[in-house]
Amino acid sequence: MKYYGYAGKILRINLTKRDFSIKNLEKDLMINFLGGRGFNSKRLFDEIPPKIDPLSPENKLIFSTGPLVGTMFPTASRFNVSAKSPQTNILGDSNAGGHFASEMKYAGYDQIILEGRSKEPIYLYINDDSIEFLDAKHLWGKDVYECDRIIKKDLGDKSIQTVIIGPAAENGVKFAGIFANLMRAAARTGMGTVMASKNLKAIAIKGSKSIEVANPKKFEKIIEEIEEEIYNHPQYWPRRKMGTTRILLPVNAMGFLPTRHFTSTVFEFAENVSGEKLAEEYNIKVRGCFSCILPCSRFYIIKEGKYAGLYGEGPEYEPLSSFTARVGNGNLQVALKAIDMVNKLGLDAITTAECISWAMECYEKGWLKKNDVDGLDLTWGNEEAILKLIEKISKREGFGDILADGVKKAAEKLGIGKEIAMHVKGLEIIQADPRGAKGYGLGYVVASRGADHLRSEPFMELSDDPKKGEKLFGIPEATIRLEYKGKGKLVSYCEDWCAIVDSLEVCKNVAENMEILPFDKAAEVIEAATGLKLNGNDVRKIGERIINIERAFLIREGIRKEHDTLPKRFLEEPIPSGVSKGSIFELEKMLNEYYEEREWSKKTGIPYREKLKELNLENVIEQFEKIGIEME
Amino acid sequence: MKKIFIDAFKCAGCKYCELSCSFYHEGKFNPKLSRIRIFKEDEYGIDNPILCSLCSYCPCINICPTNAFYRNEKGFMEINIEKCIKCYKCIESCFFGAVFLHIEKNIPIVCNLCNGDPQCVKKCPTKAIVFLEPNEFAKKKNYEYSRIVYQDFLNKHGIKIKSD
Repeated sequence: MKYYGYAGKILRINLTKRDFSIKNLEKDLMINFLGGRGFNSKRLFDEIPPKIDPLSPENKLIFSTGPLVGTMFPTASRFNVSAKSPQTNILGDSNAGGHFASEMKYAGYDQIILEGRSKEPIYLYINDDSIEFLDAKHLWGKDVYECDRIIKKDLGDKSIQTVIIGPAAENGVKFAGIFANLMRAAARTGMGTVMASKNLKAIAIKGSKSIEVANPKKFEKIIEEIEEEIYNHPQYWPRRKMGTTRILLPVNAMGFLPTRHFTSTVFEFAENVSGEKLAEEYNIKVRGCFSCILPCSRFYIIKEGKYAGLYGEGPEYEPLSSFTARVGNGNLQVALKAIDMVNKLGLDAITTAECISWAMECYEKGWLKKNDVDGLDLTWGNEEAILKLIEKISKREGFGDILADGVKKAAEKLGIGKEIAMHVKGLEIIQADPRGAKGYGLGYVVASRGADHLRSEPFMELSDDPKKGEKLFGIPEATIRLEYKGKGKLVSYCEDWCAIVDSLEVCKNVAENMEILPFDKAAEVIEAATGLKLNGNDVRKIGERIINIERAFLIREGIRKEHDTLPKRFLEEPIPSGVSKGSIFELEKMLNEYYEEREWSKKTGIPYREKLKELNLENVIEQFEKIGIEME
Repeated sequence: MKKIFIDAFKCAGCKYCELSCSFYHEGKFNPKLSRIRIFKEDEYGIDNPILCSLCSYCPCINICPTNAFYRNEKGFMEINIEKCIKCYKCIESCFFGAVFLHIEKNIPIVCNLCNGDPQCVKKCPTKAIVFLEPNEFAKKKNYEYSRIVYQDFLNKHGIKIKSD
């Protein structure tokens, strides 16, 4: 069978035995799970037994790309990497752009499955059908940049694409990421830690094959339409100038910018650390991911001051906002330094900043004393403390060793600050206060990898446009950020959408936030690229199926309704000041509406049997019955 | 005649040009079948587009032992593949490394300006690649040069030139 859109092959590598097999992509998988994240979640559910140790050789690390990657479809450049997470002990999954995913497609693979554990540190060199297991002793301990440099020198080719883990992963930090093109981080849920546990430092890849589409004429026409839509979009220029950092000031103005570890939602130094400031004073050129016509990454340099000579790419809103407002730091250059360290050491910026800001709040409250934290002065915004803690976490040294398991476990270990550990299911909350953007908040509550916005990204609620909610969901409040009504509908709709975007491996900023790729359009593109005949409803069904198989993975690991919650502060303390003052998170009402919409039990959070049947997830029903999980 | 000019500092390295080139010439997507290539180094933010710059002295034409390389009546580069003996001297000889190897057919490929309507120019999102008459290009250079000349003078008076 000839594949269109897809590369058509799955590469399975056993690191213990150092062998591999190449098989055809299964048609079932294409039709039911589309690609990328869908492929990974299905594979994990089928192949990873419940309750395994995520750092044991039993865990599998899986990379997938989507059917549009490698084609000219604008922004189709991403990959998902998934495994059971050592940070949360549930589904681990992260996604990054750059040029790795397309190279993987050109090498001929839609999915790469890594099994077992190598005895010695190695890295993989994949060159089309040739797979080499190369010694990585000389790379062990090296930071992401150095490692990339050495690999390219060793292999004698600078055009090779890599994914690399940093020293933090090697040292067993539970929230270490995997880095493509040096700074494109698939950093959430500790996928780098899993890679390190397999003694795998990097994957280098080079491909020479072509991707063909089923209907080139139609495909070209769709691309032209999409180009026009993107270029004419009101968000085009702000995004190109500032990337996601453009939202820092608006989030502050709307009063939900987490400041000093969520004790406030307005940051007095926001102007100094804004995307605008970064663009005007530091950026020197734009950069983009593969096949992107909205290049939103920026190359910056610090020209004066203590950090003069520091240069690099980015940053995006999350790390920028995390290392400024969240830790109470009003100095942009310090944030750039912190983000540079996090990238090179290979850490997740969001989690790292949460750990530091959590410790700072504990310090302020007097729960942590100077001698508990290696003599550091953890007052808000202290430059030395922030930078030292990043280093200590990456080395698991002193107090850093306690933080290196994530904020949930740090609070448990020390027996303090459990109520203010800002996580859901063990994954730290991002830089948006759930009380000020309730759709986002509900997204954190139910996301299949723990507190996270990228599973639903209900960006449209920030429009505060009731007409939109009325039109899409019949509930005007759904798209008003401080209202709780209609959020169940909004979030489940956006979750299905994000699952499709992640499975096509296109950029969420463009496809979902800018609303370039709604379900109907996605169906058209999929048909032109792959030849699979689908309509908009079918596509949404695939999204729903992905959400449900991920939920099933969580259920199997013991997650139930009681885990779908937020830290107490958001449920009990209203926002203290700013324009969102007085707002609180109405968990129960929103969650019930969400379960209703999803057709999951309001008592347990387990999907109804009928729902699973409707989505052709019979194997989930079988599994549940086998291990005694009761479905209603 | 019109030529392609490159402003490498504007290039974002997205390879949209490579994709549109391979799709136009080969009907499929593969940067390694493209007549234009972006050379990148992520650490330094380098994204440099390289393609045939239609030199006035063309080593590829001169060195080809079978005269497979030539300029057609419109002045565009062409390769007569039937004459090609795959010695790859053209690839070696190009000053810019702008003659590439077609990895499937093992023949040299070079930009032929898509017969006067270059796809890469049409598709480049940052306008790093432009298609200009020589006098238009010279004018652009003159303005750039004028700014450099004026820079110190304006700085002295506290006027900062804003970048375009």
